Amino acid sequence: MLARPGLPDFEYMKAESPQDVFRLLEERGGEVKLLMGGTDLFVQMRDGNESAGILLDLKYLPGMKDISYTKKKGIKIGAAVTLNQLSAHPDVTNHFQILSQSADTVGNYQLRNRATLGGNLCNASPSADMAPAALVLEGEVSLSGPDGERVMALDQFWVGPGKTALKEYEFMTAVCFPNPPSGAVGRYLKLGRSKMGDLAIVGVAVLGYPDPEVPAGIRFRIGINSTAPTVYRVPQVEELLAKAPLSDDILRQASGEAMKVSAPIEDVRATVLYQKKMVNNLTFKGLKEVWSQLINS
Amino acid sequence: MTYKVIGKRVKRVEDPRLLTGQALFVGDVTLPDMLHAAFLRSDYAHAKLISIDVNLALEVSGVVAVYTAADMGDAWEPGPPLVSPPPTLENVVFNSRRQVPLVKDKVKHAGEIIAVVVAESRYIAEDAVEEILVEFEPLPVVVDLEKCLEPGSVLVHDDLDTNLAAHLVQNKGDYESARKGADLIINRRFQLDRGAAVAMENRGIVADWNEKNQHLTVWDATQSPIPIRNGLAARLGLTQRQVRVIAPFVGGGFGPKIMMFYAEEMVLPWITMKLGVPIKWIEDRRENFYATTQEREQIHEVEMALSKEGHILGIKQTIIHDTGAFNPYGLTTPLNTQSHSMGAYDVQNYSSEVIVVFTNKTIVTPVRGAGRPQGIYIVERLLDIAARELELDLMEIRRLNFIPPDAFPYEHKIIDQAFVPLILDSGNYEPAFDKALEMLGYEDFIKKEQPRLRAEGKHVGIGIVPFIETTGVGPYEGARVSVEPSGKISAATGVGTQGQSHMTSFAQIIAEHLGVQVTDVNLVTGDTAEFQWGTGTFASRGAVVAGNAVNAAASDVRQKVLKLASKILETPEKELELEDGMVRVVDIPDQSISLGELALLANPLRGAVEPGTEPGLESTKYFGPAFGATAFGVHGMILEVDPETMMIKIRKYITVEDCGTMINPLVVEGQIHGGVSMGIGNAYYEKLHYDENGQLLNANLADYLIPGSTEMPHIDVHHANTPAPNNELGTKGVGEAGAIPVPALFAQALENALHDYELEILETPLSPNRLYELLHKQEDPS
Repeated sequence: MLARPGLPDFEYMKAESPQDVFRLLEERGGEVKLLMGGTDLFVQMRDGNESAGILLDLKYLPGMKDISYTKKKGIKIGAAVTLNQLSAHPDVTNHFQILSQSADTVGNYQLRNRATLGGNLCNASPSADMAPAALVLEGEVSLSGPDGERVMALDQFWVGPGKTALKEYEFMTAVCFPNPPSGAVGRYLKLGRSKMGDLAIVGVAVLGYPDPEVPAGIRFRIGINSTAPTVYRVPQVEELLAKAPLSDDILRQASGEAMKVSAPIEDVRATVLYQKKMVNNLTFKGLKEVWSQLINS
Repeated sequence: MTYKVIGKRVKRVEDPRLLTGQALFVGDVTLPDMLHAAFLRSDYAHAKLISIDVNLALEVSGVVAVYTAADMGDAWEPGPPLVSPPPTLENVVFNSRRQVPLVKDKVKHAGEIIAVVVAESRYIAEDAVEEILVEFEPLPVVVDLEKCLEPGSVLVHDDLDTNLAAHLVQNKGDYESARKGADLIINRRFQLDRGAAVAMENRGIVADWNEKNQHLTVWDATQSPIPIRNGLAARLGLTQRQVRVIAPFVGGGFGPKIMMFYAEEMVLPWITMKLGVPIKWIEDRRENFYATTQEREQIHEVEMALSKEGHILGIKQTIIHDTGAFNPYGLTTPLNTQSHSMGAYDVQNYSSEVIVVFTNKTIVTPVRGAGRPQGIYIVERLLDIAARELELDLMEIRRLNFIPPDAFPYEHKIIDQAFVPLILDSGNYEPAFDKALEMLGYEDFIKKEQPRLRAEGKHVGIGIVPFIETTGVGPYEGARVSVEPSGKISAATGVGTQGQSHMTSFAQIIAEHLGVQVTDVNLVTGDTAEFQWGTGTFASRGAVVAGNAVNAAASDVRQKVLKLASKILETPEKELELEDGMVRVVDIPDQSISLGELALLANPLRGAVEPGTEPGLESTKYFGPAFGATAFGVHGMILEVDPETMMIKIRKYITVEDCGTMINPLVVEGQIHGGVSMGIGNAYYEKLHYDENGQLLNANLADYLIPGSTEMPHIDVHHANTPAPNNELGTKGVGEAGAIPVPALFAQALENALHDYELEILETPLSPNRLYELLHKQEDPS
């Protein structure tokens, strides 16, 4: 058993251009860890789970901290935009409110000054609080690598706990979200053991919007975290909700289906029974709240 | 008695230093040539130590030394028995097995120390620890409190043929006869689990042997610097004068820092004497989870016999108490559980068996509450259950059983941690209880608000739990108070300070007697060079025992001041007053002399001090109570539960606290707030999860969740005052009170909130997850 009095020594470097990043990775790849807010990385390093000779800070690369919004294309959020910025930026709060809601649930205010959207998504934690909302908003991530830029839908991005589709030497530069369908309402419900600072035992994001094409008149998208190897959508449940006129019974049935899809593992923070039931209860609560809001608006 | 300064809401004089980072903690101590220690601890909870190879570690640049048990030679010995069983208890089985400095042959809990590296920096020391090669032979592990007693169980201590650490029975009256006359017998099994104290500051030690001076100085984040000094001197072959232990500001004690000795406290002084340079070690949070003592794990089989009117006729109880791998702290915790298992009630027949067991887990010693929360939990739970069975009001059944005010001093007859049959010195329970009901709006809530809320589909419950807290036990503490020529007062006491506001409340006592400002008093605590008699800060005893010693010393100095001033001012003592740092003739303010001038006159450079007198205006006094002062309190809350998630919201929290005379109500309220937050953690958030291999699964503050400001309710505190009759100030302790009733309170309020589930809670701590499971055990989520 090893005591950990603090971070081990490391060299800190600030990347000025993507080429800086690729060059350093090429030269000293094994020693380098890419740094965004560091809210996970530093903890992992302190605990001895990660080590790095060099921390290469990507936050100061061009565009990494920018937020740009157009009515036509939606929003582009630099990967290094902090969660507190997401929480307060008018373009986010006006058009992508569920992102602000989600950001507000992460850790505490001080931590959110450092934590970044890109970091939260790239960390690929099954409990990532930004991920359910990012999924239901059908975001796309911009990735930059030695072979150039590429864009990938978020639902392709996570491949396992802590694992992403990022290739060697590749990093995330931005996340783009198209404008949500007209009249959309979103809600992220997070269940942690305390009101502040805990990781999600279960988190459910529900996005609903009017759609006259479907019998329900409303379409829902549902994103869930903490109860599978990656954060996930439940398309079968979304289809079920679209198929028939909405009622509490249908919402209940859908929530039950979501619970069946969930596959949590037991740990010291929560049992399987509790997590599954919470998927059910939070999904119902989220659906009900969004539905009520849509009816009333 | 009316006081001018005692009892006033004086702001803490130590806060500016603490809040601006100017106060000294062990971590701040840096000495020339200081080296740093890091420990290799066992991952295994139970394993034979086959071999240790430190050669690679010694090759690391910057490493000065690496030591194992073999290097300690004759200096290797287990810690002393900190508290032996009371000699007044008969037929006690007590198998004393104490913690060791470095593991010699067998590891008995995860986190025990295998080797220590001393290096130029902590970083180097940590790195070198990784280079030590150890061969273990893992052994089967025993963690279960009942299985460990089964025949053929794995043994924690091979030289014992059992895992039984202790066994004792205490009887009062005749339970079996009482049982025969009972209308109702309730039988329940309760499971109480472990939590950690989680002081903000972990442990820390700097040990510095000065070869030329032949003197050892140890800065130690301990609650008991004087016993540590005495023990170190004995172990190291030094006189007590050659050892100085300083407990500077300590960032929270909560009990675990009373230990003597932790392994690290034995090892560092030994190393500094070997190397002749100062050595420093500061515990990190992970080490704290494994190596710092914990508490509360017990299993109770309890029976309560009652009349149909609700009178408690008797209680019979078997307590299995987990002491972890060692039992240095004797029986203090289970004795407290026994003495609190009758709560605030007049129980004439009580039969209680305590079985203490060894397991391969971290050592158990008192943590704020120290066995009392468990006792209060079971008696209060049983009363709730009895009231339901007898269809009585939950509050009425309590009122019916309270010890009446004319029964004090009340002979409890059970021997407790003070080693003598417990006597409850004083109390007036019912008015305090009624006050709590009034503050909470109990009648109104039950009759009007709750039905309305239930109709709205809300699950809002109410709970009220009374409790006692035995406090202020001996043996004694002392204090020295001295007027300096500057007119300032210097004072010292042996107890250490871990946030109890001694610098303020003790200064208030002194200011009361000497007519000075609180800020004119400079008080030193926890430095054996300043005061060398005493035991420490624990058992809610500082304000009672040290407080009354300060009071006695200050009062004596006042007499000396008056005597001298009377002579100089040529005025009878009774016509003098002490005000604003002056002694004045009452009604003739011009005729006065300052305390500083008097101090100079009392210590003349020429002439002769009168025979039979002492120089200076100084006094050292001691206070040792024959038995403690028992406080009383009531906590109440209104709690909303979301049955979908079992998340809670505390809508209202009130306490009525009777800790006798208060020296400073602000300090009392601070203690209660802190205690309640700890209690809320114990009740609904904090549980140490050991697996079957003795591994602690949540040894970090992300997984072991302590309640934060967001979980803390606003707390309304009302002060009742039944002064303690056996000490001059009339004080009773309050340090642990806040934590004691909270688990019982949660259980009652949760049952009330979830009335439609017919829930019966028989365990603590709970959590949203656990509560949900209790209610939905049968459901299959798949």
